[in-house]
Amino acid sequence: MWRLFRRQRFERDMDEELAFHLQSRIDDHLRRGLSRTDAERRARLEFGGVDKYKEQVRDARPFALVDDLARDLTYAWRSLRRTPVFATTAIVAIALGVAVNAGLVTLVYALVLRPLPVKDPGTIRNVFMSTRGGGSRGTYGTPYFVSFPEFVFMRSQSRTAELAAVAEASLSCTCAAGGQLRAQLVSDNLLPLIGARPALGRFFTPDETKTPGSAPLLVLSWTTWHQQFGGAQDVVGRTVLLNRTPFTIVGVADADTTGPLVLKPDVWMPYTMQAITRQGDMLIDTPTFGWIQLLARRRPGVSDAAMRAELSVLGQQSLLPHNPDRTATVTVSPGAFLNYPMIMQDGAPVMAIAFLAVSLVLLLACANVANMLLARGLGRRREIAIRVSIGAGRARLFRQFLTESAVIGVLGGGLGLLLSQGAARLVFALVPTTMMGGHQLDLSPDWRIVAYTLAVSLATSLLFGSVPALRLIRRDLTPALKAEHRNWSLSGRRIPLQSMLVAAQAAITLVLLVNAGLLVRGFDRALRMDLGQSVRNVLIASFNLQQEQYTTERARRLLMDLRDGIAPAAGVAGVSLTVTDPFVSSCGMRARTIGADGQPSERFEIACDQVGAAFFKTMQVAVLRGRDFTDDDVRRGARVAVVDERFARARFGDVDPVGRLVRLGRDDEGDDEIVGVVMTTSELTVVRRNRPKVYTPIRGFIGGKLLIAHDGRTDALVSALRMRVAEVDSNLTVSIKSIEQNVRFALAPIRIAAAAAAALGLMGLVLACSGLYGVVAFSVSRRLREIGIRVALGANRTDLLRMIVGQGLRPVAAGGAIGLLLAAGGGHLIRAMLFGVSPIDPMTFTATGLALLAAAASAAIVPALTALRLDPMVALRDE
Amino acid sequence: MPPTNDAAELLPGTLDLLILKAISLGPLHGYGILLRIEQITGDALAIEQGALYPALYRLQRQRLVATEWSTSENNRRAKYYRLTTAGRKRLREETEWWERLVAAMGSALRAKPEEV
Repeated sequence: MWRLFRRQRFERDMDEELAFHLQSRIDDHLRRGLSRTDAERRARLEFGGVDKYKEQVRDARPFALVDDLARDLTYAWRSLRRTPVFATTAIVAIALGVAVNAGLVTLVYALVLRPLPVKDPGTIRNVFMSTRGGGSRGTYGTPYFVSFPEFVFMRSQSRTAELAAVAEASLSCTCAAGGQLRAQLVSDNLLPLIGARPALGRFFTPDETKTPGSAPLLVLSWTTWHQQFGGAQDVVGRTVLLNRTPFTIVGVADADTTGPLVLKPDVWMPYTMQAITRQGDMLIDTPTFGWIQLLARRRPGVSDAAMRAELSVLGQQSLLPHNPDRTATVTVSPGAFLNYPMIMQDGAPVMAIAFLAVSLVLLLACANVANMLLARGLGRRREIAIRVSIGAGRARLFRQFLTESAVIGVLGGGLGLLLSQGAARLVFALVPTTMMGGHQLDLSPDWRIVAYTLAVSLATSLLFGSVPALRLIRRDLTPALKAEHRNWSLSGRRIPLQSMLVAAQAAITLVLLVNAGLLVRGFDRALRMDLGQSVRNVLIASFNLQQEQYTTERARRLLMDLRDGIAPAAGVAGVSLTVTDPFVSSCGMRARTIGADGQPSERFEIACDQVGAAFFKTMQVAVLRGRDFTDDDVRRGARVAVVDERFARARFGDVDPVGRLVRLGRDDEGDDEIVGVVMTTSELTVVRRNRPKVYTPIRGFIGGKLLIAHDGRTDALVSALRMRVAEVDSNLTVSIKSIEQNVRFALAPIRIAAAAAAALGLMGLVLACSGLYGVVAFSVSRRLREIGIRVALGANRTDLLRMIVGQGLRPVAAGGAIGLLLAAGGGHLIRAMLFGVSPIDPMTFTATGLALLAAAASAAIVPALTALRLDPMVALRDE
Repeated sequence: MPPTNDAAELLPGTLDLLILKAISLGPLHGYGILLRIEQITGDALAIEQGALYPALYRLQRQRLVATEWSTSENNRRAKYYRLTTAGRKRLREETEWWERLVAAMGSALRAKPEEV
């Protein structure tokens, strides 16, 4: 309002000032004796173009920028409204480009950057401590977890931060709805530290989290309280059985409290109750075993650097009693879900590749819109020429073009932000639920995401807007005024910029498509790969023996009983045991071999597995030398081992390893004798570590799983197994899955990558084809007259069609060639996911190149045909 | 007056300097500035009169001149321009620069063959 007023006053003043000038001049001329008509004519002539100078004065005035911006915005809006098809196409193209970009950023942001859903997240810090050096040390979960005494020491000594402990466990609950509960094991201060308040009852006291095993108490989450206990007001004081141990409910947390970890817990319990979560595996009593994640509230006035300095010293001191030879490295990071240093390091290259891919799509959309703007601008050359000739500065015009681009950019960005939400959720939908079930990742955009998207959109619009704008205002405008645009054509060297943009789109599309093709081929290869073992027709049955407080001996008896019961069933080809979930989990350790002279070697990394009798037969792993494990090996706990061929070759060369010794445990725990060599099996993980593998007879029966090879008829088998389990122990839960499910799970990252790459590639193809369509359509519309003449003179329409399409395809072919070269480089970046498919796989490259040409040809043929179908007379009259 | 062939084209920046010089002797309205410039240059410099105004607004934005509405000699409302302190300083600097340039050019162009 105020601006409008200011503007009006400015115009009035300017008019008055110029009128005064002219009037004074006229008066002077009249005084010199000229007639009124002559005086007025003379004065005007001397003054020059009033409108031109007014325009210049407007540019020179203060506040010109703000007023012009408002005017440009209105103008841009109107001009977009006038060409809705162009506007929609451009906005959608930018929206797609922004959506994939913002979608990826949303995902990464939610995983590693977004502040935790706790009170005052600004001063919450994740503290990661890793250790290096001699002496034995184990961790459960990430390598950054600390042991119970280490945590107690660091918490009591720290002056810079309040430290709290959190760990996760899955428990079986004998409560109303029963089933599995996810528990967070916490120190007494964790819930208050994250701002939780009891909705009922209370949380834990310091005394209750002091002594291991002393306080079987429970705090329910709001959701659990409602789902399992119907929101009963008298729930406090009730007792429930968790892993067969009675726990007393002392409180319910408020509805906003969902814990500091990515998975929402159902209940909280004192971390000192850890022992009941893992039978026979008392992490809490082992000072050299890290299982506690450190969460910290930084104290006021303390910097992260000071906190890190203090905690480094404290961490080192905490190791002294039990790990004196190890060095602690402490990292302090802003509180977020998955920002472990390891994830940040390993994930960075993957993210870089993904970011490169989505940036290419955005670039493609840019080139596309730039081309449309250019075509549209060329169509508006008369308007531009007129505006320049009445005195609009080229700088003003340039600004106006950019304003129009910015409007497209911001509208596209807004739409893109909406689409990105869908894209991020779609990617999550592809992740197997077992990986992320019950997560609390927040994918909704906060101000950072919105700001990022806006910045990207504006930067993008500068990019796609300035190229055509510079080109348009640079041109010599005289021919445009004379309506002489028949010598404009795509064929000549007149508009190489349009062709260059088409070529760039073709190149980018090919890079995306080729890499998508490679990933799909890699996925396919992985599915068919000979992994050296069965990948189908095996059932995997797991039990909650740990949670049912089974002893090792009882677990062994149960598993043997089930095996003997199921083995004779119809369709069973073999039954064995394992402790690792095939293709999903793996075990690793550092082993030595014992030389023929009795000298142990240095320790080296191996993969390990504990398996039952006839494991290799059941899993169809070829035994190359020696023998499979027998029932006798398993029953006696015989100190024997089977190694894979990779192990044999790496450690013994051509010498037969059977009869030699391998040392897996501590040096005082004795050695195992190698009794067989089997075929090397492949892991399906993206990061294949190619470790040599050692199998030993199963000892950890608590974690034992049954492997049942069958002939494909599983229904009867599954119900027989369930019945058998129910007979033996009705409390026991059995979960049965197929090995095919495990393969799919292991391949999920590659499947997601291949699907995402294919989606990006197709999006690129659509953008590039619509861009080419636009350019060819524009070119033929400019050449209707020429085409009309040619047709009128009797030119063969087929030849003409070939000519137009050929000219349209030339930049596509050129860009495609460049794209193939770039794609070869891209293929090398994703080699890990290709499972042996060559990064320059000729089939993929040829097929993709041809597909692009075919798609481009059809995009070019449509407008060409339309042009040729026109009556030549109409075309000629059109000019 | 219409441009004639023997009127010199304006060098970039000269118009600004001429305006500053014109109002250094006292506030003037736009038309007055034009008359003063014609007078002090002896009609040797020809400009389209309209070109004066973008220059005036530019100088105003640079705060080298200040404006106020007042009544003209023939009793009409007119916008008067006067130098600001910054404008006076700019005029001094530009004048010195021009004098040096003119002296240098003059002696260069007057140079006789034996002096080269």
